[in-house]
Amino acid sequence: MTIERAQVLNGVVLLALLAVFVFAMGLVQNDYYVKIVMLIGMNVILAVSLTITSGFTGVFSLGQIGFMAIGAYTSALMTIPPAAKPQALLPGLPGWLSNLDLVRSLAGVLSGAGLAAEQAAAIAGPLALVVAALAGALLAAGVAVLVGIPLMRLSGHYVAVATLGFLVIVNAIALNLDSVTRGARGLGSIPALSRIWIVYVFAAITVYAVWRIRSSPFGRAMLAQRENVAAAQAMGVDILRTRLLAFVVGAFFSATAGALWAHMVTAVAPNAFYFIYTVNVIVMIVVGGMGSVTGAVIGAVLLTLIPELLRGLEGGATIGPIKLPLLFGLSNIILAVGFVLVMIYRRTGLMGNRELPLFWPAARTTATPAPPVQAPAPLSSKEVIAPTTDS
Amino acid sequence: MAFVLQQLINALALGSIYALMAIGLAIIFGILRLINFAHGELLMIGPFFVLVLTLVGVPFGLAVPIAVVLAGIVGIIMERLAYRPLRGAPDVSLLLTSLGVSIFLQNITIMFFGGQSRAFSGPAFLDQRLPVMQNVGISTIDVVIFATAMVLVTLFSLFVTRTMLGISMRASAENLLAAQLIGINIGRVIMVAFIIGAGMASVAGILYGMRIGKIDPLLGFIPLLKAFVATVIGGFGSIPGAVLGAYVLGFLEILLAGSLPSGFTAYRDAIIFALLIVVLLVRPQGILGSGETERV
Repeated sequence: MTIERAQVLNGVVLLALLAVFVFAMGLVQNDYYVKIVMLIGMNVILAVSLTITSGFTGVFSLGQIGFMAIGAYTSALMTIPPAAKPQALLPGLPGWLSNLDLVRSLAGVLSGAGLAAEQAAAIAGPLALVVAALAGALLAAGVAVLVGIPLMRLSGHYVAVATLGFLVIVNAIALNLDSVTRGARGLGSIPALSRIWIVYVFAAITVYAVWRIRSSPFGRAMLAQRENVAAAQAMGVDILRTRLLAFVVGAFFSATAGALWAHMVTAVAPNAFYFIYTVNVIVMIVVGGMGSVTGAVIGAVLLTLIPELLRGLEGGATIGPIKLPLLFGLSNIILAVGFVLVMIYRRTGLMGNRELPLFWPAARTTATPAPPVQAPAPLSSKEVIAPTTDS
Repeated sequence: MAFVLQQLINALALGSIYALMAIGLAIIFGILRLINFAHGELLMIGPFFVLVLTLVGVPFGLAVPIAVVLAGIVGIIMERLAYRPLRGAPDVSLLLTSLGVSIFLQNITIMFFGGQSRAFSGPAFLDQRLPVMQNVGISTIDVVIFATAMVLVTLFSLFVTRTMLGISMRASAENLLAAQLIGINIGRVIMVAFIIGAGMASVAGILYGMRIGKIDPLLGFIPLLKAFVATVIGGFGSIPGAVLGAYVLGFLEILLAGSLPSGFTAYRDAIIFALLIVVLLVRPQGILGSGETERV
């Protein structure tokens, strides 16, 4: 079996598994569980985008949730029905945006195209979410280009502090630009358009895109400059452009996660997208392994589920004869201790730079033995760029 | 004139709180290359210790020094348990660990005290206003803040220039390996750095809590951000730079608050961070920092 065919087969199997999962989850009735399942998908998107922004490049960004906020606010402003965003309430909105009723106008377009009214109405919701999410993502990507051009020149600590500055700026704008964001009160009346299947389609696209980038020349350039800037530069890697690409792609996908989040929670407020969420996503990718896509996915799943399970303890659970008192913050304490232990004893996280053989069985199992070399073969692009090491 | 004087005192008080934070950040960064995100929690636990001690009947004047010592102990434990095992690890690992420590301390406090803010005040005389001129008064607490900071900064600068331990500390910040090679006990130096950092941060926290009249488990976040900015403006790792940066920041903040049109004053944090990014780009070594920079 050729590698290509194995990969196609592999992709089909994974997609089928995903479809079965989404279908099974569609049977879940409990609203709480549905939200947890959606939240896992969103956190997968965030963790995988932080993996490309920071894990692949080594440029440590603390500003990612700022892009999530941009996606959430932009998409929310597009889908909130006009009655809930009149000019009187949000005078800063341009007229066309405050009159925009995305869901209804898309339904109108669809039925105009010959669909039955109910069908059009059913498709319009998800379609509106996709359109709004893409709009938010494009805006975030644009902002990422502007912010990234200066910031991606910095390294190490400086970039962490500077991206933290970006997060603070986004938060200050969300808090104070009352005429568009309603400040600390936030925006409400966002239609609940997020569905499990939409979230997982977005998550699958994110994982696939980041995986493809990783094995592309762009991705190898990212890894190469992470390991050794000078060596990568000597090989002709444009460091700024490489880092900027990672930053912008990460911002784009983070913003889609923000849009999905907004249309699940149905309200957005500035403090939802601040330091706490930033740290949560960082913990996910550190636990999963900083340079690993599958690691990020595992980290996102674990770090979404464990806090929900631990939260039960805070309510004063009874274990046998012992009745625990109310302990707010206990779940975060356990997570923080666990995280510090991971940093001390297993700094590479669960996966390090490795990947689960999920996506790459072809490369691992069907690797053909190298043909006997007679003459020095020209170096393939794979060999030219320094291989990454688990560090 | 009265307005200007009041603003000047405000700026000095604000700058003093940032300076007390920034010194600790700068020495710890200088020695360990660690941006200690948990430093904000060292600021936060100071007033909480005072709160508990005064609740059990310790007079305020005694509660403050005990709280500072307790905060110093927390600093030592923090270093021993979380940072020492990571000695020699990449810088980013240390930074991430400090995020974990920060979350841990915040939530321990939330567990004991809940998330809401609590009223916090010092002795009554601090709330009075000192009459300076006719119908001009400056608040006593601001004067106390500035005076405390000046005393501590002076003591600290005497410590790093006149004592063996202080000189060892500067040597370790200059080059940890070389310091180790000439026989400096860096374990001890690092411990003392954390004691001093934690002590100063807790003093800053107690003063800050009295100034704003309330404390909560997330009290440390904003001063931490400001102290970051101050250390960056002054030059990462440079102690005089950190103090200078802190006062520059204090003045800048008050200046922005006074001069921006009314709709924009709320944006002053955003403006300050935008400025920070500009400083990082134009002069990443800060005002007084040494030449070492990493950029592409």
